[in-house]
Amino acid sequence: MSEVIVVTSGKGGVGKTTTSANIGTGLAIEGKKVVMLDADIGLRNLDVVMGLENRIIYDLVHVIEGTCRLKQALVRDKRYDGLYLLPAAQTKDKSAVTPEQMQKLCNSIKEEGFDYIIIDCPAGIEQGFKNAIAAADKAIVVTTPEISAVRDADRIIGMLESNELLNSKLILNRIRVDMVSRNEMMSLEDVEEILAIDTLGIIPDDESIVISTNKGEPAVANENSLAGQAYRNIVKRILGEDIPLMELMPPTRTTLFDKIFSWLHKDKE
Amino acid sequence: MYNNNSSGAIAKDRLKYLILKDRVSCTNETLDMIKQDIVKVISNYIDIDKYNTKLTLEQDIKNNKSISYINIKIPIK
Repeated sequence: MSEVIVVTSGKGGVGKTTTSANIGTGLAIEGKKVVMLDADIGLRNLDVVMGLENRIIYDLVHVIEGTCRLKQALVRDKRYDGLYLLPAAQTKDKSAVTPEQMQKLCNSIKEEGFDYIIIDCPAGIEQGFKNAIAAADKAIVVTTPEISAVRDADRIIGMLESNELLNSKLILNRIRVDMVSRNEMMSLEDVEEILAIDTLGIIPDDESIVISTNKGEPAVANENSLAGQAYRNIVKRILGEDIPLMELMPPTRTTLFDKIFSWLHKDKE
Repeated sequence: MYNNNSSGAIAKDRLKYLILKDRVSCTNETLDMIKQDIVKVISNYIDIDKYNTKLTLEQDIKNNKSISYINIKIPIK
């Protein structure tokens, strides 16, 4: 049984592609056969985040148009067994594909015996979004704790529901614990209350994501990355394990009171 | 501990109102038209202060279900 999961958000730049790359890679590390499908035709990026940009010969549109076979277009990631990328076309636009063609494409991938198809959805609510969700069994909604991103996530959840994609799961990305603790950033509880969907995971704002994207190596494979750990937890939850949400600790700050206290204390000694 | 003027609280309040308007697909213009119509009907019967009439969309949580409603405040002259 294979499962098609679309990673979507509405707003751009909240971490859909990074999330797709990390979930796809994480599932492969767990021994699953995975295709990461970049549905962002015209603005492909999943290949770059994965560090596979120089290995692309054919793309999704070539497969749909019958220029090549599916197997020719799938880029195998040599670092992780069972991980493949189906790149988006860079020279076409979203109108090059229809939702029906997308369903047919996903069905033929399923026939190859893959466990998971992770679809990286483009930003927006137009054709590209409709194509990306057409074949999906489940949806993951990525957002950051910002007004505009959460608002768009709410729109997207509504649109997923009207397309019979119920029970979407939330990933709250780029949380800055220090800011949340000062109440200068909305917390997970705030966002959950507004969006009213279940949370699949929370990702701290972590510079290791920038570094891993620079290198084209997903953070999920990096044992020392906090965001990587957050993605490993998400992967386990997708596989049905009951993993508690990551405890995010604010950096230990010495308050003025602490300083005065230790200073007074020192004086006495 | 939580200061209601903190930007996190402001963000949440703004967001709640924004999403409420999105969900009922109601623009500010529509809300204003509703207000004008209500003012027109009521002023047929009662002398009201139409310039200080306020109409807002609001949301309450009752029994774990959020209920949206229209709140209108019409000062009587």
